[in-house]
Amino acid sequence: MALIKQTLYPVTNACVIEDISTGAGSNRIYLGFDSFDKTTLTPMFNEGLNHNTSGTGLTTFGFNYIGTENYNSSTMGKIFVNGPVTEVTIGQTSNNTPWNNLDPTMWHSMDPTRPLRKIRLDSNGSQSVLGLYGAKVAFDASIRSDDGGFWSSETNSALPYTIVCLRYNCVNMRDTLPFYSGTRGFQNAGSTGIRGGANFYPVYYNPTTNNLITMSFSGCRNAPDEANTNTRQTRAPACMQGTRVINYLGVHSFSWGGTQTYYQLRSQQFIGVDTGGRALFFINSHVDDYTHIIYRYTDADNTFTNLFSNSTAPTAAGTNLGGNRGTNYSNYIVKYSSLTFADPTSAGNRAWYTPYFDNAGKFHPFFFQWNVTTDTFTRNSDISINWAGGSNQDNVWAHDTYSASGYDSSYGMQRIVFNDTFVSGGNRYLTFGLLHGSGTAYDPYPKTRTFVTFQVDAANPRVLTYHSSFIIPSTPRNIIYFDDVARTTMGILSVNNFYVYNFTPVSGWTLTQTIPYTFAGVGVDSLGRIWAVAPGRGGYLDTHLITLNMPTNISVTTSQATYNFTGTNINSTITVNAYNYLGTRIAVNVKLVIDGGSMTFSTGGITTTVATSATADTSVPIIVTGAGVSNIIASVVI
Amino acid sequence: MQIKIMEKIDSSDFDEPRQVHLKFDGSTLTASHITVNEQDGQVLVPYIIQPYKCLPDGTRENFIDADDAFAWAESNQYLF
Repeated sequence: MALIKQTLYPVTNACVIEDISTGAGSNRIYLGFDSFDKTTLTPMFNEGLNHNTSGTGLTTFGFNYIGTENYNSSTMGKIFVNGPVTEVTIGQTSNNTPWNNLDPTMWHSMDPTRPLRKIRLDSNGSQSVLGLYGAKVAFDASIRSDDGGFWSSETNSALPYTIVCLRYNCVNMRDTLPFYSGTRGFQNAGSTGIRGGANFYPVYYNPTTNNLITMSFSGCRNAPDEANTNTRQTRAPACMQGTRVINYLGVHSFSWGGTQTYYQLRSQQFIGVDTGGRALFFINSHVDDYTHIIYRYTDADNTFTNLFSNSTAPTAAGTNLGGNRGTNYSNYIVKYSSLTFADPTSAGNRAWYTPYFDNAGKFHPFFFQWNVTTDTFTRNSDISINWAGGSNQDNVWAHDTYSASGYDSSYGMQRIVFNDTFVSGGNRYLTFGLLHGSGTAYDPYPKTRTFVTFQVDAANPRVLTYHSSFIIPSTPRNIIYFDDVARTTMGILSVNNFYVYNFTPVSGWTLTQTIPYTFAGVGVDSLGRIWAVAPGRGGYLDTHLITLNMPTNISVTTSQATYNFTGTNINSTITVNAYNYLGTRIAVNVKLVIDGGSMTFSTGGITTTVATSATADTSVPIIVTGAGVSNIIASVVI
Repeated sequence: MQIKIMEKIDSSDFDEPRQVHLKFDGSTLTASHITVNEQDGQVLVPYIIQPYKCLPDGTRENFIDADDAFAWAESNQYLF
């Protein structure tokens, strides 16, 4: 890991902003206010980024400060890159505080073709909007109006970029000093749109209506009412229906789309788009595990149609006992569904898993099926879980019954249950677990900080077989999938460490790297680099680049399983490979030492260093010189 | 076309009851927020266009008539 940049100016600003616009001069990345070549990270002399249209002073934008004041301890707004980003608040480690509320960005979009991005470029060929968003999930008594969602974009003579900016006026991201001071559209969401305490997530640009569909939710109890006229004490987390940005491209200002309907004690996910180009959403209750709503949002007229509802507790089927878990296994549980995937039982259609716990508290996820032609949905609860080796859920996993997460709470988003599905080695798997924003709540409870993985039956996705489980060394605060579509590598943010895990069908999730830093955010840019921010000098964040291409696994195998020594030396070979955290073969120098008296390398010595290949096995000659056992010890030469 | 004002009291929504304007045109139920401003007085803002009933078991059914549509709305306030 390399420290790339420290905060130079005591001005609150985003740590990393990747320019993803097109055209000359766009290959830039901004670290703080300074401009760098995006590819080489070469500093660009006399060029920078400011959001102040007047060119005087440095206007704050985003967050790079931790400090000691809780309301400055923002969850989001630190990293804007064109890839997955997960951010956490690190100022608090106690249980049951609003600052534990989690950034659920990994799960807001269930559409693998439209993963959520904290910076996005939408274009109709002649006009484009480059938007950034981020918001403060945490809560404070005054609901600061200046730390909600924000956007900025630019105008370019070659490809006009409509300026749309929430929260702040902003200048051309590529302007050099002196800063641009022209007129730009400006929209302060705090005064006319979604009010403080709520976060909005752009999920889909509808080219037919020229509206940007956003999804909003509140992680705390101050949330807007339907008419956006009052901030009300409600119950959290909550979500809103019908949020959009009208006339997104082509004008220099936009407006929010009128009436919103607000649901408390429910979370929301973007499922995808129907054949008519309209967004579909999934609403999940926290009060129970079986009240679900799916609705279609017609952004053209800001109305919606309920496509599916089910508020009936499932009956027993398979190994699922059905019923209502009640409050025996903690009360309000915020649950997030998996990405959708091709339904293996219905060609051309989609499916997903949604967490559910039966009346014995046992995990039996719903298997949802989506007929993409008719937009009808089927919820299947006849789930069978096969526990290998006589094991059961209680042996490996335990509910969170230690932290309150409940009714009329300002910290209702402090813990969530996720279940994510992915394919590895040709098989589909499902991993579920708990996250807690405190980073400490589960430290005494290893089973509660355990992630459990099942293998999905290839022919029947309602049959799950226990595959593996692993205990995270300390409470998982949040996770980032480095590839948020494939979801086979993850980073786990905890209080003192950042853990990197990789999934293989043989070993399951395996810890491949531990980075001893308290990261407040991690993100992957469009070049695949992993950025991370951690507390630095003066309460401001340092910006790091994480290198994961170190070998995490070295394989040494002999060409024969056994050797029969009859008094004559035997010439043979061993095969050496090094693999990184992804399980990809890499080139690295490996030192080999023979421990034992029955074998040497071809040089006659017992040590050698070989360079492995990224493309082929590396063969190393050996000589068996006697009877007995010899071991080969491998280590990486850095 | 038939109209009904529904008192929305579902506890999973706001604590305070609010009114929803329901209109049934023979096949489709439209729900509207009722807002009031000084210039226009009472204004209806449609927000749900519902051409069928979503039943609690996940299936759908067409509305039989206005009474059926309004009864469905009343008993499924969590969808409104």
